[in-house]
Amino acid sequence: MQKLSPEALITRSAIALDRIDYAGWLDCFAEECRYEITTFVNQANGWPCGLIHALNKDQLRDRVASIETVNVYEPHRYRHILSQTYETHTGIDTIFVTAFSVYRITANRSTMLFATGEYRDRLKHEASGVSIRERTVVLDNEQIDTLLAIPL
Amino acid sequence: MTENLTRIPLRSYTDVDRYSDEIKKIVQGKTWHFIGFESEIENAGDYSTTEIAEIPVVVLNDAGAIRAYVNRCVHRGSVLCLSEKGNIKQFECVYHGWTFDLKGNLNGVAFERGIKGQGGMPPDFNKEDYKLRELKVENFCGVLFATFDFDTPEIEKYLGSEITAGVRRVLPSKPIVIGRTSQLIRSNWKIYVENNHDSYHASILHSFFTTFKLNRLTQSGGIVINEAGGSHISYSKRKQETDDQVYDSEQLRANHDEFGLKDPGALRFIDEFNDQISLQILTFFPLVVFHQISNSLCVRQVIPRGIDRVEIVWWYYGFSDDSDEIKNARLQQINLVGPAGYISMEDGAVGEFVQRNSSHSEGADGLIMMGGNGYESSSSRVTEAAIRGFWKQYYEMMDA
Repeated sequence: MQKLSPEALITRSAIALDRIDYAGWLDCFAEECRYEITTFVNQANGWPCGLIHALNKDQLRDRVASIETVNVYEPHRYRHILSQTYETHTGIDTIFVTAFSVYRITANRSTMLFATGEYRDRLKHEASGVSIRERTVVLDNEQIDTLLAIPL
Repeated sequence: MTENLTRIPLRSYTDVDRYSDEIKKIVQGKTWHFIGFESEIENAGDYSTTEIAEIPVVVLNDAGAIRAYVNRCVHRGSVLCLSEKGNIKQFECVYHGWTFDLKGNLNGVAFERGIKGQGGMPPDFNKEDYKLRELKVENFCGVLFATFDFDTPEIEKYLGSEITAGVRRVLPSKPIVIGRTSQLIRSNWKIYVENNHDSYHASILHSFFTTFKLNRLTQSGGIVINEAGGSHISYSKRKQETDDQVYDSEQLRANHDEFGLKDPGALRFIDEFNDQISLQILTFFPLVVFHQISNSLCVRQVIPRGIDRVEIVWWYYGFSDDSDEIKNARLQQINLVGPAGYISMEDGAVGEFVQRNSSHSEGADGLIMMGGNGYESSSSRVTEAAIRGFWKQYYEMMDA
């Protein structure tokens, strides 16, 4: 739960990943949340299966635990560059849309552009603050270089 | 054949001349390639575009008959169909407007007779002499395959009865696409294909498998290799959750104290084929892999991109009569597979690790000695027999 504006919450979630502060990233999400990474191609075709599909915060905790303790990959980190956020209203809901570029930094390699796309966030507003209750990460690029371990 | 199947020179992954030979002798030889799903081109005139190795291909529904052509105009070689999908009455090249009917016949050349008697094609030019390069197509249970050589035997004969049965097993009815991702691996294509023949690495590299007892070499299973050598099945069985509560979260934590899943939903397995096989990796020589990982069903299309790059297109599929329970299982298991999957992400990295040591590697070999020197089927997965089988078929085609 964050005493932040929606824009600041979204920025915090990105900077937390860039700093490999997974606890800080998890803090940005409501306990009842969904998180998905997919692509424009999947969405355009109505195909549900993308890259990551978490149904609750425990599944996000599992992703963090798995990449921290189980999975094998070369150490790397990201740098998110975000656009300003704008709100779209669906009638029932407000969706906060933020465009991003994500660069990947791996030791002994040049920094590479890893992904571009947009966050589509639905937020939970409470007296104590704001949190993400649903995030759909829609990638422009269908191709993932090498692997995607750390969430976007 | 004189090659030793237990020692593979690492320079096999970096030799540019060899790569050109592979495209000529293997890719364009008597081999079958994945080109798409029937369900994506259901209507007359529907087409989809894809690639076989780096050769652009267009797949077309010609009034119910499925045809495939090299996606290349006969005039100057430009790509004909630019979109990934569409519907056409004829092919029309954007470059100079040459047109072809859906059977690939050239039927229109812009300004063929010139203008006012000036210019135009020579008088002995006959459109009938020019056709798109056609590939032979087989629709196998709703998955489309093509071959450059019209003498390639039909798929059942090409794969042999056991591997064919393994493909049919995961295609009980017409598949529909439910998602797609793509992964670029910085290695030679053969390293990725070999990795799929390698039942030895799965439970070691992919520690997620072992941590959650999804695939241990002690589980019942085995490998089946076809006579040609290059296509195989590796499978293992797991008891259903209802029979054995070993996969519930409490016991998972007990099995691995330092790490248990808080929500093991993605590990739930529904025995949809009624044979308790929860894992089947099937390689279809040379560039196709079918995977069944629990209820995740996928065709992995392997696209070599030069000597040291390979793209894997993961085509996830299901069936039109899938229950909500099965749909949810397939969706949840996305977390296990693909470039972001808990149990497959490492494959994206390990090929590159081998590739890095292959450039200046005179005298250095990969050792493929586990389980002897042959390529026979076995009930043990502690063997590299299926990798030797791949190289056996590879060398036979390259030496021909």
